[in-house]
Amino acid sequence: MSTKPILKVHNLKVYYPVRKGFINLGEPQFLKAVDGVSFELNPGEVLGLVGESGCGKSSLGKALLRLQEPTSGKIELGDSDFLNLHGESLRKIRPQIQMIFQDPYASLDPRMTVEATLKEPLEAHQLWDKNEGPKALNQILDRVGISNKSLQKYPHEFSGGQRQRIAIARALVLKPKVIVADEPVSSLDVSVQAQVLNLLKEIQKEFNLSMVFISHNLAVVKYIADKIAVMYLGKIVETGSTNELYSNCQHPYTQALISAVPIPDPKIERGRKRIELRGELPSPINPPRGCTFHTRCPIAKDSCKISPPELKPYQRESWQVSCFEVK
Amino acid sequence: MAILEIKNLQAHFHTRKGVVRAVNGISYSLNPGEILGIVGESGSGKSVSQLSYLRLLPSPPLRIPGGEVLYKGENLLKMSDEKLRSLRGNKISMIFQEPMTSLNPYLTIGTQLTEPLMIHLGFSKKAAWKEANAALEKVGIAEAEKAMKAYPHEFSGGMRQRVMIAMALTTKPEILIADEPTTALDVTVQAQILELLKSIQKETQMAILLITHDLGVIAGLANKVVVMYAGRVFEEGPVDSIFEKSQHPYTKALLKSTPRIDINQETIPVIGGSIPDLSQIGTGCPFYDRCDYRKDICRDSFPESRTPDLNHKTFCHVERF
Amino acid sequence: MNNSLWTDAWHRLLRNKLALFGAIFIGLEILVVILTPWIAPYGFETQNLELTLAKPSLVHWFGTDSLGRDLFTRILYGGRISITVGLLASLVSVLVGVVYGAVSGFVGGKTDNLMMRFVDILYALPFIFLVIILMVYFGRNILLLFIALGLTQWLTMARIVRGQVISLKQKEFVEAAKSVGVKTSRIILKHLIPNALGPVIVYLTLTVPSVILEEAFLSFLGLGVQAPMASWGTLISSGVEVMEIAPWVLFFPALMLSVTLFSLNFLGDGLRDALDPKGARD
Repeated sequence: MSTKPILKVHNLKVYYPVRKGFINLGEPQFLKAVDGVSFELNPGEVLGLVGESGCGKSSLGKALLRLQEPTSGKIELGDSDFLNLHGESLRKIRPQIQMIFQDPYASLDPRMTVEATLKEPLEAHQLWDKNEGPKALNQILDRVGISNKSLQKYPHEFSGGQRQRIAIARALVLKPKVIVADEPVSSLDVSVQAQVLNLLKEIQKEFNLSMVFISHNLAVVKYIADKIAVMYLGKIVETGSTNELYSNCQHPYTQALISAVPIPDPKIERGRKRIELRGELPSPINPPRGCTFHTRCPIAKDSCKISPPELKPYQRESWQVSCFEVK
Repeated sequence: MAILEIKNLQAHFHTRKGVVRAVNGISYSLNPGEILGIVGESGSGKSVSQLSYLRLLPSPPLRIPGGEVLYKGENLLKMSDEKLRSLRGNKISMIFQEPMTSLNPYLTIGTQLTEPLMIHLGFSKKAAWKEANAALEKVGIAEAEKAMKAYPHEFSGGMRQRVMIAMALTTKPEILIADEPTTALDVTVQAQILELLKSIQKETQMAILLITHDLGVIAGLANKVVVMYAGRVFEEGPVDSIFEKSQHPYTKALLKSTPRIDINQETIPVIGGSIPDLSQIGTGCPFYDRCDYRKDICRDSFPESRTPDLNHKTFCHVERF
Repeated sequence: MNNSLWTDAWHRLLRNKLALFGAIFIGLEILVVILTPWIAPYGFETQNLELTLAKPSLVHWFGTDSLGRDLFTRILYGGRISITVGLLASLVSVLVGVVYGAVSGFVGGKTDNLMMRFVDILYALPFIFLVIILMVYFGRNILLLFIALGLTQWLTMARIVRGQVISLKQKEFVEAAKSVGVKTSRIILKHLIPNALGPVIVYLTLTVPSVILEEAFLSFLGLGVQAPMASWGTLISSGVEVMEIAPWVLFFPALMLSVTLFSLNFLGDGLRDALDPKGARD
């Protein structure tokens, strides 16, 4: 494969300093939200980033757009060293990577019309044409399924699903190469989720977009992603193609995760054996020594408590698992 | 005999923008020892209906123009405040989605757990404390003694939900109403909580009203299912029958448009349109605008129930899909 | 500006009877104040030494003061000063406070820390004494009065706006603007300030009475406007001197001041309720 990845993330870390009182005695503590994450995204590919709360997927998503500055690591966006850009040069490269946020009620400025919201990105980069502009906007709105008469309306006049479509339109307006979608359908009703998911899928194919799709909902991710990365306490524990992972995942956490997802079929549910995890999610400020998952892992051995495992290929280069018990 | 029977219940909110018919004439029953799953999206009326059974909603703006809620034959809606209070939290318990808001952040877990025991069952403080301790252990909280002295914010979401369940169970209720009990929880924690509910139900044989929008959760736990939409009941039947041989276009469409991890879905069929405005509901079927099988009669009148299968009721004019 | 959210607020305001009364009263006052030279029955300096401290009558609606000047006229002209000072000073405080607070809140970090510590220090200073010192030193200049009074109020405005901006900064639509490449200055201007406007407007209507009262206080102490010009403060001051023999000389200016303050406060309360976005989702 000679196609170069459009996004390369290398050993990304996002640590939040934790203040212990006014006078800092002893070592500074950090909340390790993202603790050394690396992955590559090829053009036209959709990476599903899954994990439960506290795994760091949202912080990772924000870091990819530098809405949260990473503590260390490297991001290559196309040919640019993304993290080393600042000020104007950073601003100018932003059109290449756009975001769709989770909450459709909070991601649109309530005091701006649809037109104002959609033309703002264009104006910010001197791409707004007074004559052709509104027509182009209507075209995009049409593509996302919002009627032409909406340009002068305000967000509160739309339903959640419609607002999310407008948010998608905004993400498309600058013709980005990469879209980071942070739980884009989690706040929507089930019957509307499918609509928006289908829209995302179509748009992704039509514009050959690369996407990082962040979600805690494994079924939703399966539908849209080509490959998956499973996160736990800031690290990727397993990554591979969607088919491989859902049919034969190797990491005990991934296995527990998949076995926990309820299936809307009573006969299947009755016959299922759930893998139960012991205990609770450890604090990301003081993660366990060794493999951070060992405190809850059903197959943990003593050797797992000593040093953390690394991502190693399983059967092929593209399938990586971080577990001592997986060969 | 059914332990809880809802007969043609209507619950309306009178707001400045008009009358919101949140619950528009629903009927179903819950039998002892049964787990009844109520599935519906937002605006379906599933939560409002539960809260109105126990008269937990302020009225005004809520008005209940008609219907009965029969608990062992007695109408809860017409009961005296005193009698209802003796049932609530005692014989009929409720757990909610957000454990943080249903637990008092200023009181220790111990205080909150022992309260219903002392008030409803007349336990002494010592006896209540012992009982509460045992309840915490039962729901899987290790170090129950320590937990009794702790405050809600010291617990994670999953633990708090366990505490809620413990609280609901100490009085050995006959009915447990669980309103989206696991929606705010991570999927692995959800699995734990659902297993817990299952095992407790097996042991105590209490009836559970499980309200959720998650079809997977319903499939895993419920014996019987009621499907709600825009204030109406569309379908009611045994869980296998509802999932495999659904008799309503909405249920069918909902099942088809739910992403699943066990099968390969190339495309997911979509239900076009959106949930109707509950203040503008007419007399016809609220699903009319979005239904692939609609007929003229659907617009004008809401269907009577039909029973196409054993114990399986549906409210739809169309007979074949 | 957003039509629907503002018109919705407008309707809610109209439903609040006290706020409505306040708004109407203030409106009328402002009208009268503008039209004073044409409405006033007498010149404000016109003395009638034969009719000093006269009781209210058909000729002199509010009576006369110790120099025989028509009190009604004096109150009208006094109102001009008081209300103008109130509005202008408040405007100064808004302009300075909003910009300072918005920048501090948005930039955050050490800069924000520094800027707010500066505000804290200023807060601790007994500002009214500073104003008094300024007045004594530089003489009683009305412009100076506006500015000085405005500067006493911007501190709270800055804090309010900063708080608003900090909470808005976290909102996803602000992050969205950032992610799309909008310049910081534009984000502050187009997203943060319009959304922070609610509390600013409310605080503004509460600042005005505060300033009017401060001016009245200064004038009462003899440090505000100079005779023969009058403000309600000076009128009240003169009224106190003859309180026992001609109570109406104190009563009427005090009444005007009080009702004005009440009206502004009712209006402010009503605006706060009307602009509260939580209430809008009825």
